[in-house]
Amino acid sequence: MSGWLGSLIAMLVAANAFGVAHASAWYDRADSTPRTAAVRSGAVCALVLVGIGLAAAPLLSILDVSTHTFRLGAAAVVGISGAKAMLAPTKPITQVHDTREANLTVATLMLTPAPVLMALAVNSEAGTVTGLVAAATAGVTGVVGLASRRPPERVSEALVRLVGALGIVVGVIVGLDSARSV
Amino acid sequence: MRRTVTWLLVWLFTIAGLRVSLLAPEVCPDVSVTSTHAAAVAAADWIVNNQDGDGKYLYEWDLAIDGPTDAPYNLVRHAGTTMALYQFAAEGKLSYLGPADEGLAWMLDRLVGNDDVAAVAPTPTANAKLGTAALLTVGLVHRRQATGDTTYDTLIRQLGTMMVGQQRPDGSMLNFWDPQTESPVPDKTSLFATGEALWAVALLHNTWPEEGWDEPAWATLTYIATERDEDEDVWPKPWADQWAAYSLHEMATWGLDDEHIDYARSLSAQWGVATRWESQRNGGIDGLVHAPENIAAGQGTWMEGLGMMRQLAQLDDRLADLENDYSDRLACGAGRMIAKQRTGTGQVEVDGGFFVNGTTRVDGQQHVLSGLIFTERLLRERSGERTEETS
Repeated sequence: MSGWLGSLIAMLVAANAFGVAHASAWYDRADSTPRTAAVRSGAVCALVLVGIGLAAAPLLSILDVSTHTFRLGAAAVVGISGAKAMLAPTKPITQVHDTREANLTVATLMLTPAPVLMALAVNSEAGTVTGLVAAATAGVTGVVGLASRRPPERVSEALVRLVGALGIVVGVIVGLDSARSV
Repeated sequence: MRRTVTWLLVWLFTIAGLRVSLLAPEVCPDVSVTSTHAAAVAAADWIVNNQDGDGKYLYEWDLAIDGPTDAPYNLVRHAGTTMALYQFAAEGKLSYLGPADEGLAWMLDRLVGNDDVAAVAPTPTANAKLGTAALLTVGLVHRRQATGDTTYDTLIRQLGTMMVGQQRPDGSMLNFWDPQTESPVPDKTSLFATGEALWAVALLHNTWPEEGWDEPAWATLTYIATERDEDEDVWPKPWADQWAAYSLHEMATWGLDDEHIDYARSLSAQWGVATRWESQRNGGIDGLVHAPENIAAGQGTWMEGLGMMRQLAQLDDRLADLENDYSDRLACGAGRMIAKQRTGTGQVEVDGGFFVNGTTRVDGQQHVLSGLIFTERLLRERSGERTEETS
């Protein structure tokens, strides 16, 4: 791998860029209960990412896929997810009714293919420590995103598109690096 | 609920899409010293069992017509095939010296040149290719290593003088030598021949270190590492040149510069990716996504390149981090080629051959044979038998 920094960026982008903050429009509502639940489940999702990352070696062995090849697949997914975020950002979720729905919503926002695959790729190639740092950083930023009040929708959407573009760039860089690996 | 279903569908399509494309299983059949050696012998036997009485090899066989194709015979590939037989002989398989010498005699009948230079040309007035001279030289050096016989030392030096005469100031090599003018044909280069010539000249320096063959070798190596791909309009870069890998390994103890090592890293990645991609081509949708299959010669060159890079990594710490990857890809490529090798048909034009799309060409057996030799070395090391070079 060309360096753990690229992977870290990829994790960051993948984990929190594609709609977590943007989609969390319900925080503007007076009821703080869903918000608290969302932050809690965001932390749980971050731990899940860490756990998934730690399972990288046996999982890739079961899949019969080498680490470099897996990284190429993960990069493609990050790039495509980035393109989707850039061209068609997720619509803000303006209402959640209860804690359960908040939990599910956060899980579906944070545990998408891009961050999960990148967590596996980072762990398998750059090692457990880097994987843990990457996943933890992704988790923390995701939770911070969830805890924050949503900025005005235009700003939020522009941010998501920008981060989506960054996801494309990261996907291309990681993909090319993988294609240049033995 | 809708969000959750969408999330599940995204996951389903992502996994399914990846599994039939980028993340299809990489199937690498197990290899052993025994199976690798047997496959190498079978490949070499295909070459010698189909050799004419005058030393010429069967060039290409088509299963569909159960006969040879009308593809024109190629002198460079003849020289390469002879070289591979000498490589095998140098590994201790001395029974292949005789057939290799017959292949050599066929080339000696086509020698052109004068007291100072020698080359091989299809007719006395036709242009001689640099690659033929280079691979003939490499074969003769391997023959010398296998037998200790110095009969051809003068010829080897004449071939070396011809090759160095093809070199331009920037280290690039001209492809043709004109026997009528006894000089290089200007302006025509070859993507293949430059690396072939470099390997040959590097071998000359290692054979006779006091004769100054290293100077032209350095110039051509640096040219290949830094300029050749631009000059030859190669994309993607670098050109996956296994001859350059042989050369780098041959020059490993000369003090390679960082730019040469950087080149080696990017060069070897080409074979790593190619092997990984090929290992995902296993029929069904995988086969469609990863088609078309490279010819056997191409797949053999990946093994040669990886084999040489693995040995280079053992000699140069700057590549040591890649040694395991080289080993894994080499073993994978060998396992797949062994699985594809035709055996047990009782037909000499088929048994031992590596057929792709129903045809096999002599250089398919040549390149895979060389790759299998390197794989056997790897497997012997893994089983505790260190070779002299790496012990």
